[in-house]
Amino acid sequence: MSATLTSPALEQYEALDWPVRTEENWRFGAWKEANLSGLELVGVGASGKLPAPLKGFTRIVFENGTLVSGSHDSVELTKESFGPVSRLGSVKLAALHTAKSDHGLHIKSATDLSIEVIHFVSGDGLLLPGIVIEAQEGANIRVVKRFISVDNSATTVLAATDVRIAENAHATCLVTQELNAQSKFIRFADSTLEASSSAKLAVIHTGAKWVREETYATVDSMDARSEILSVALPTTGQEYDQRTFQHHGARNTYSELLFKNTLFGKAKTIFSGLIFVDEGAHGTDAYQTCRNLMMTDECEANSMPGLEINADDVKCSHGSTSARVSDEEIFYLMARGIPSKDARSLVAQGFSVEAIEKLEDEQLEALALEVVARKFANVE
Amino acid sequence: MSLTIENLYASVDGTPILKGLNLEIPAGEVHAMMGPNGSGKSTLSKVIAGHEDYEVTGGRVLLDGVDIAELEVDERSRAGIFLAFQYPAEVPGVSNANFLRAALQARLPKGEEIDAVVFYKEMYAKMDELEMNRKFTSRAVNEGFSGGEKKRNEILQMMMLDPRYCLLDETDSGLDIDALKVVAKGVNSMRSPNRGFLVITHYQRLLDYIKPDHVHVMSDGQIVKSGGAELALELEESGYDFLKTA
Repeated sequence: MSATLTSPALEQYEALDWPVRTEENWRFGAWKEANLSGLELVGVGASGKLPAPLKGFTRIVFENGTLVSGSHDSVELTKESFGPVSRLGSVKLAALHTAKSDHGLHIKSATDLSIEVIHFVSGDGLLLPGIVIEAQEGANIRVVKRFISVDNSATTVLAATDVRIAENAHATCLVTQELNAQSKFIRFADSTLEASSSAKLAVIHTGAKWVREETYATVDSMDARSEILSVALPTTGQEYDQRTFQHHGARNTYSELLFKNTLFGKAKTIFSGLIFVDEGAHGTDAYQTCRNLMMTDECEANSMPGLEINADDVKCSHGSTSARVSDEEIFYLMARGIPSKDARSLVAQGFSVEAIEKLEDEQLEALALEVVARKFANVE
Repeated sequence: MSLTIENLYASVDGTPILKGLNLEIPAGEVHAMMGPNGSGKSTLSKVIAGHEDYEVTGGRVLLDGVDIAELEVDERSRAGIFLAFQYPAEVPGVSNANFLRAALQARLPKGEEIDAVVFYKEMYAKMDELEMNRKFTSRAVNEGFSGGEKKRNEILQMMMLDPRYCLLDETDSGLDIDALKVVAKGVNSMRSPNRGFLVITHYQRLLDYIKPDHVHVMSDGQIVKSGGAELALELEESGYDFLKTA
């Protein structure tokens, strides 16, 4: 562990309070789940079944934060947290990461690069992975990061992702959260884009009993483009809480957020998003969409989209919809001989595709679809 | 071998639409159903396909002698009934190829898998026949398709699923003459002694290309007149005024 009992980070963490019900950033949220007091770091990890390799990607494998295979000149292991900052309600959790994380990855490249990071997760306790992805000028970086449970323990993964894109660079980052139904997953996902750069940051959530994700995109350089994509498939016993902030601080910037939630059983989701346009950030083009597909009458989707515009000449839209599976579509599929359950599954998987296709990367789309299909095969 | 409709009564939301309809479509024959708007033509096709919004309140539908009342929509399809929709649904995110594979897969015994190579070969051959661009295999089912493309897609599905009885609900609506010819060619290629057709249409035009063995006129939930192909020509000429005086 990098932090000692007397470290300032630890002192700061201890001085802060856990989230409480009355905080706006925890509205509808399971704030009690965020209280991780007394949780010890997980012990030695275990190996899992490696997924099929992604062609052209360098694979790096961790077991509970310990590197077990893979390396690349552009990837540096770190011994401490890069210090995530929470601006959406989880200051205490960010401080916990800063104080106690003892491992991380720094991917930094000025040339094109494709890295796949697999985190095999096991054991009761807390795991604090961190990653910095730095695309230097002109580089095109692809990163896949998968969190996979290898046992049925209640692991709490508190992860931090920081994506920094330099001028004319591009990064695509796909995170898949495939934890078991006893685990928790908390993630800070920050991105900063310099002029004429672009980023696609996508996440697929299929596992965990509780997810809290805070995504903050800073788009404060001319002609920067940010895309934030999420596909979530919770079922009974799973609650996914996602908060987002698209911050436009310069002229002619673009951001698009598309979240697609398919809720089964008694699942619950919370989406809260804000597009914030600074004074002077004229020519901002910003979109925010959260769509919920309700597969049952018992599931619950809460959406709180928001806009705050302080500049002229902007194009912004935000919207949220919740709908049930269309009877017309189901009838059509069944009229071709497809049984009801399969028809509903096909329609629901199709619903997720809109977000996945925006990756515009065949390999990553195939992986995302595979993760989604696996969930569908195991859900009623 | 026939699709037989016996004294069929059906209603929607308590409103009676079909009022004692009788019709027998023997395998090998093409029957055309005409009639003014609101006469119940589309309802008939939906009822046979098993749409849950339509309640059968009397009579029965026999598929080769077997009452299909208890069969679900998908079971009816697998038993050999195919409904080509007037307004085919769009299914975002589900590619045409995956859709067709799922439909064919549902017809196989458990544990048996479709041979992908054979499937694509067959699909491409039928698409060529219907002059459909192969890009449609990867496009989402009917999403963003023009009216004509949707109708071709219906016929493609019909050709792939090889049903015993085909119900074509205003397949000609929204088609230009060239598309109409292509669609009719696809239907005609499927005519066989083992297959029956019910072609629902407003216009004689379609019947120039798909020659019916019998033509029926429907009004207020019943068949009020039946005849040969010449009946469609008469209707084209004189319209449905005779219904008012009847």
